[in-house]
Amino acid sequence: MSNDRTFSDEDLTAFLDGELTDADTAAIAEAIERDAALALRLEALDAPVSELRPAFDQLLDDMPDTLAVPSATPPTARRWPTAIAAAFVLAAGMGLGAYVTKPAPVTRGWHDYVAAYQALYVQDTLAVVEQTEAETQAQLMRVASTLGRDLNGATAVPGLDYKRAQLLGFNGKALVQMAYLSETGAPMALCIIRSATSNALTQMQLEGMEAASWSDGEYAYLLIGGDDAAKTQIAASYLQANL
Amino acid sequence: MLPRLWRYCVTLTGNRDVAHDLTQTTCLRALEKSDQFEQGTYLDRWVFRIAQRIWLNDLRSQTVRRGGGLVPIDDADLHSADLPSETNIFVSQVLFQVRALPEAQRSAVMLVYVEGFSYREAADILEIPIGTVMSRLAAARKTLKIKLPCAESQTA
Repeated sequence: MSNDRTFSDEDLTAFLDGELTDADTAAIAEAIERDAALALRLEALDAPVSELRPAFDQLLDDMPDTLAVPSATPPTARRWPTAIAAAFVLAAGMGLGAYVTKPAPVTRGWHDYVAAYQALYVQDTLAVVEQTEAETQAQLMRVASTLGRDLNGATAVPGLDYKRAQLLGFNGKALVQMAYLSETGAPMALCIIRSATSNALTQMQLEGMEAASWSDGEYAYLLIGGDDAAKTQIAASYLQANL
Repeated sequence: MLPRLWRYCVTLTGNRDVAHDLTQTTCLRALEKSDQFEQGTYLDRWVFRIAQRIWLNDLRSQTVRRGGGLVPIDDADLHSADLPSETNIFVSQVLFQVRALPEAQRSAVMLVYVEGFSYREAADILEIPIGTVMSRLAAARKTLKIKLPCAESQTA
């Protein structure tokens, strides 16, 4: 750097942040000594940025419990930790494991993700959902329009108390989750995603829950939750016929 | 790592509910794409980049459409009652002033000054040229210099 070089604010910022080479750092340090205007410009950039990290570290303790790592809470006292923590622990484990073992290619379908998510639901997750009729209707309209499909037939299922509709996503596609509580208080969900497949109603078990899936050439459906295979079949048949 | 991601999402989105969604979506996306994670690279940079992409591509436009603009976090959200009282004011000021920065500057400030990434690493996460990171930081420094009193004058 020559002595008459003009330094940009970006150069001065990099100087303050220790991001310059030794030669450039020395050049700026030397220029500041004899150039009062440059020293003033540097002063104007010299914000207390070292105070940011300790200040923001206070936020780390502020993270809501719903995002807490589930292994920290005993299963019996499990609050609703959402799929986040579980997913994240897996992701983190995968990342660390990558250094020692080559991870097998992950080929999980949307059923698996929905099941993992649903497995974290407890009765209280949905029991606390209190919406007015107008809110429920507006929510349903919004979700249905995103999915491109009428959903009214899914709100009055025999044996299931409809709670809410949520828009989720899978591989960039909209995935709608309609949540219910069964008569015995088991959280249930009907999940719908666009799919060109056409499969007859099939019952299965996923993550220890009863499930039923079918598709109609435009959408694929999965009803999941609880442990009563007969009731799941009745509800799924009703949905297949009426939705 | 999860609290760090959540903190970044809160600051980026300026809204706790949206931050919750963004954190959740980021984790799920990371899981889905786990086979694309390159061995020997850093998980945190990869995950932050996923969060940044989801925010820019999906969530931000939805949030702006839904709320007619980003809703600032309630001040009450950030005034934690259990912070030591003598630091509380300065900490609150720091959080407030960083949140008040334009979004592009805010993300660069978070990555470099809070998360401790280098310019190059921040540029990779944000998928922008390193010179852009520098100009965002320069602009943010000027604002913070005016808005934040020097730390020395704070310590009573």
